[in-house]
Amino acid sequence: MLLIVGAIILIAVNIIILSVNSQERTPSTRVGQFTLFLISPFQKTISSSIHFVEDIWRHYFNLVGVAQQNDALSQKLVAADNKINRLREIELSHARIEQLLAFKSELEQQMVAAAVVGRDPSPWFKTVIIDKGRDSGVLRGMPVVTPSGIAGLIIDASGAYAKVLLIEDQNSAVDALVQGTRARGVIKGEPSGLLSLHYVLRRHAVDKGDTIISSGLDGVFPKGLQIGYVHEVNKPHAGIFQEVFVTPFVDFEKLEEVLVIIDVPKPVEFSDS
Amino acid sequence: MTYLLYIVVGLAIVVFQTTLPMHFRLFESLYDLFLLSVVYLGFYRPIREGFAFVLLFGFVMDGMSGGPFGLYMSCYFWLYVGMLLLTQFMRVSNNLILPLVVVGCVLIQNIVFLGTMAVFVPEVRVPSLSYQRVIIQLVWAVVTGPIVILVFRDWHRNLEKWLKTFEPEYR
Repeated sequence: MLLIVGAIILIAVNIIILSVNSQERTPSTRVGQFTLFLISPFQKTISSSIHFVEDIWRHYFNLVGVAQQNDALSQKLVAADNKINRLREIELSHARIEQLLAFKSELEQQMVAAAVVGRDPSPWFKTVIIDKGRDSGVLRGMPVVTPSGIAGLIIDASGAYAKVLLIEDQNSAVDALVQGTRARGVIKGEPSGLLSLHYVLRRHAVDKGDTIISSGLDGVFPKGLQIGYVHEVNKPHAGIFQEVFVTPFVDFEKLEEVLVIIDVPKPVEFSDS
Repeated sequence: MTYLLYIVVGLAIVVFQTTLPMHFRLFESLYDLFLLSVVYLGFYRPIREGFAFVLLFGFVMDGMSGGPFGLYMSCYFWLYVGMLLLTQFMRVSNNLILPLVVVGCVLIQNIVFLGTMAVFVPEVRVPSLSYQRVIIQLVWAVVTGPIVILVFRDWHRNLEKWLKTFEPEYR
């Protein structure tokens, strides 16, 4: 009898602890930092070793088709030379236009490059570990991007490593705009791997293929960073919002290197409580 | 020595699970290999070894994961308690029950994780394609789980025998 009562109390305490921990959007911190410190050097070693073996395979053992490829490429080179001359002119005019359009703030942003060394042990949560931490100026709340677009947000950082909550995780949220129409919403992760743009009013025009960018209003991600393009739009019969599904520009399956923006205007520091 | 072995094996499992799936798609839907440790410790090892290891690596996995803190620790703890209870009612020397037990553990862990996501985390939806991933995990578990446990059990026994030869009274 005593054993059963004890087990019931233990289960109740367990559920309460899980419930309390679940309320916190970004689990933290010292425990996470300790485990990052403990595990991530091994992850980095394994990842580096695998890259090393892959490089050897690509460069030394995979040369069978290279001779044939070389002949074909020589022919293409002649055609490409002519094309380059035409493109050079276009490039020069494009550079001038680009200079005019580029935002000064974007040019001033400081970034730290980092390699992805590990991922979440559970397939149900979407986080990755990167090999830059507080020693490199990476702090909780800093945005993580790739040349393709927004990747996620730092949710924990130890000295040399940090944990990134990817925008494809269902706990993630980014304030966003439809680039063309400026319709506003919040990007969240979907179980399918797509993103969804929430709270877009029905009256706002959103079309398939439209680009979604960050609005900058969340105080985390700078304005104008690419997120993805509209994959599907559903307008249900009832309700004031429409359902917008977005394909992210970043390929999270192949995420190997990322950039952490370390001079965001107002870095959000989450409390540890 | 035994604890050192557990720590090395545990670290190897964490690194394996968080690194290899990034590079090899084959391992993308692999089940949680720690569950094999939970079964092994529950069935074949004394409680003083099992509890410490289960809680320590539940803690480590929670630190590495983006899920609610305590999820892994709770899951491992209750599964370990379940294994201890099973040993009271079943003959664990019968290897035929191992596939069932391993599959049961993988299934329970997935239910707990998805249930936690659905119940505790606001606005989170349970993935509609979850069952496919779970089925792949179960296939992996039933094929590899019992073999890994039995091989590790025999290897561990032999190691302990070999280590005993260095003890003074044995000589």
